[in-house]
Amino acid sequence: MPVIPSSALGLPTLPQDTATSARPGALRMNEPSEADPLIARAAAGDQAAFQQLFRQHRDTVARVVHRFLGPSHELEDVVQEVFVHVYRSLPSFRGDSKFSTWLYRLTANVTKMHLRKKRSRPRFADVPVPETREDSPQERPDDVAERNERVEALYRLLDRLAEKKRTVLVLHDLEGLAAKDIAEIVDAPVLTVRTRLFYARKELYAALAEEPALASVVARFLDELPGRPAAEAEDTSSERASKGART
Amino acid sequence: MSKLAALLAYDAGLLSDEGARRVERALARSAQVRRELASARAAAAVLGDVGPAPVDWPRLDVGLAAALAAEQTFGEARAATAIPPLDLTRLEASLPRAIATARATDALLGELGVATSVPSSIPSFDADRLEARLMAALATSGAPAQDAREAGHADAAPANEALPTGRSALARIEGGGARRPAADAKEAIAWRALLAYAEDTLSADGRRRVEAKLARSAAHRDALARVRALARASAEAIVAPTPDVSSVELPLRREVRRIAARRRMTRVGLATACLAAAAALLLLMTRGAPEPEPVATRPTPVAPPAPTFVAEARALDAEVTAIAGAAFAEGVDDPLGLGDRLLEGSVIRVRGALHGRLAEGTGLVLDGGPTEAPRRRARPMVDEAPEAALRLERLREDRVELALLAGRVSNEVRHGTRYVVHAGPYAIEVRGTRFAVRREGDVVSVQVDAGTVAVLEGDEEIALLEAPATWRSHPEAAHAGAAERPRAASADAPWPALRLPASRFVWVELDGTALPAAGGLAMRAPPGEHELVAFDDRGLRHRATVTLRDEGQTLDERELVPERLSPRRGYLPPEVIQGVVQPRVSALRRCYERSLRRTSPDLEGSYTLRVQVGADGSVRGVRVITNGETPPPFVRCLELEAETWVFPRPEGDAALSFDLPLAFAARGI
Repeated sequence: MPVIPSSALGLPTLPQDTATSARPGALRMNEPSEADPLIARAAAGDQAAFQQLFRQHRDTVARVVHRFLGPSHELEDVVQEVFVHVYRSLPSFRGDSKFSTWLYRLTANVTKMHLRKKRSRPRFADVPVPETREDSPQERPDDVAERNERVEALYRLLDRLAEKKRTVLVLHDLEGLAAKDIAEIVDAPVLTVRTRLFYARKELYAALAEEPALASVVARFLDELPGRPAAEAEDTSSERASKGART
Repeated sequence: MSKLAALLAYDAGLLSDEGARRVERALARSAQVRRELASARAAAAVLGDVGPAPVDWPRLDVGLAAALAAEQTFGEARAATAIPPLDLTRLEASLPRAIATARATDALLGELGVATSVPSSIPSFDADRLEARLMAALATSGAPAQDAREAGHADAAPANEALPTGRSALARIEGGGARRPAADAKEAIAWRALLAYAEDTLSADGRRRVEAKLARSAAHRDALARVRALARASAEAIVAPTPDVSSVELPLRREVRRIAARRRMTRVGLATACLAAAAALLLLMTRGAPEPEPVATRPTPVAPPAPTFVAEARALDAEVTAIAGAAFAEGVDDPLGLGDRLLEGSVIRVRGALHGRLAEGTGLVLDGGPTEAPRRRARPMVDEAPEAALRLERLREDRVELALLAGRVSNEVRHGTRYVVHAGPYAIEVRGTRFAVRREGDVVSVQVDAGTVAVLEGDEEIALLEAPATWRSHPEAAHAGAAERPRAASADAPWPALRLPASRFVWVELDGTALPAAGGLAMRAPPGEHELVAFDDRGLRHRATVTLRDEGQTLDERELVPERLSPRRGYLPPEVIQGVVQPRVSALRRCYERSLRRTSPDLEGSYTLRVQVGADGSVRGVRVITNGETPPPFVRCLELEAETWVFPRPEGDAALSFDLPLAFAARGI
């Protein structure tokens, strides 16, 4: 997903590192080697080793779950569920894939199950988006509120995507994984991943206008584009001409 | 061109046997053909080196060659080969990179001295041409979104795997075949072109072309704006910091311990089964041949070891005894209702309040937090109420374990019950008490109203609280407030249900239980007469006397009548009231002493005397308000005594009422 500079668009500037943090790249889990004794010990039921494994990976798992769920007070529950699954399934982890890939897959699956359950449940009132990092003091509260609104709107649109498409889009555009890695995580050919990504984006492009917070961003970007469509320009000039003729 | 395509196809192993033989014959005959194959392989190798990710280059090259040599198709090579599915999407995605690498390749090949033949004979690496084709597709396609709508894709996305493959893909990208599929592929290309433009990976010429297209087409401008807007929203979503989840560690550790224990139990079970099998085998082996007198000499069978059952304690028969607002058990669509079972392992989420009976004498109240004084005035509506969430980790006879996720849980615990409330990194353990725990994020506060509780962090006991006591994990933490008493925690038999549907009332009180009422409520209450007090959103009190029968009852809000308000209220200065009451307190004390002597030797406690004074200053009514059991003769004595009081005429010539707090102990007032 291209990262567009926000200057001159009237949108608040994003903190510097966000552009780079979202770039597609290699899996960013804290990668232990496959022969990591910690994994072996945890798999054998060593609870202290498992605790250490949790500490190593909790931030990554929390980040991925957060990317999937968006603002949610259920984050902790889901993260815990992920690690309970990790503990249960570790004995069956044979090291066929990288541990990070395995963990990503498990996280994605548990989150998917959670989202599935959530869809069949009535929603309580919206959860406020947590305050953004403290190191952007230049942001006005209004800007923060507007951005939160946009983020919530984005997640509402994501809620409408089919599960598989959502997974690929979140992992690629939000988590910044490369299609090759995603293919391994979702156990599908790279081609399929790209296709899902393409259709996911396309659906989102089409739906953007339905969320006022995002439609206004589209409108602003539209205004910023150089030149004007000839047809429009002609229309306006002919309107002017006809007005002139009348006067 | 067809010769080169055939060579590429040959290299990629795509030719039929007959095709391959023909290529090999050509290779054997012509040095020029051999040179061309070598050049093509060099180009492929260079491309392979340049590409950042391992890519199936031979296959891709064939695809590129095929796609871009639209008018010079594979010809005889195609006729002789079965063309495998093409990675059309990948092909498109790698176009910008292909452009860059092709340029690098051209330069490199030039340096290697093979430029003379290769650039002219491998048009697939002609960057300008590649881009021109991309732009042509863009120019002839409709706007991406528009096309999608026309093709009926806006609502139903095509199946993920329904990709253009094989011959049809080739036909599409070549612009041949049916118009509709070609439009589909062109639409994809148009999106790619816009993405490439937004990512700034196009050449200056490419940019100019896209911009020219944008200037002409409002639909393309709209599409580009959408591409940018989505990118922008995604970037903003990434900025949101990930919440800290370190508090998960403790509950996780408990869960893991439990799983580990279960695993051990399974292993014990297996071992027992093995022992039993071995014993049975032993029995067979020692039996030997039948004896002459079987009855007398039958060997005593070796009893297999008794199976060791590590039986789980019996699950508690826990149920909802009062509910106000909305409450759900996670994973269940229907809201929780009165009498619903509370199941071990479930997570209960409440906006409002939920009372539950866990066992005889043990119950809980889950709500968002204590209400502020003066309470029962205008309360927020139910969907604005803070959410409380509780996981019922263990509901068994030997132990009750709850994990408070948010809000407050008030607990009444029968003496001897093992009962733990986990809240964030803390665990609050009790044995017979009444207490409340409140959690906001990781900040936890506890109030103990009766008995003793211990606060643990990890395995370490960090506080021992004896009632009355409060404890907070953080100095700023909000107080847990007095523990609400769970309804019907000690009911011998299920009480009937009293229901009040959603109404204009925001708060209802019955027998000391206060519940938010805006979203409707239901609660268990003993059969008989009850006085129900309800507050509307203006803080106005309403009352109803309800006679609850065994089959339960649903109240109509019209049955609650507002307390009569005096149009004007009189006023008496406190010192005037005191002047009248003080000399007569000794008479009240006599009531107490009489009761001590005659009926209730243990009588002591706090009472409130609510006195209504008429416009003329005479006492019109007296009520004794108490939250415990009070002997009726004592109450009557107090009332009779107070009714004799006479006050000066109130200011404003109107009635008034005031509350007089009294405390009696054996020493006197």
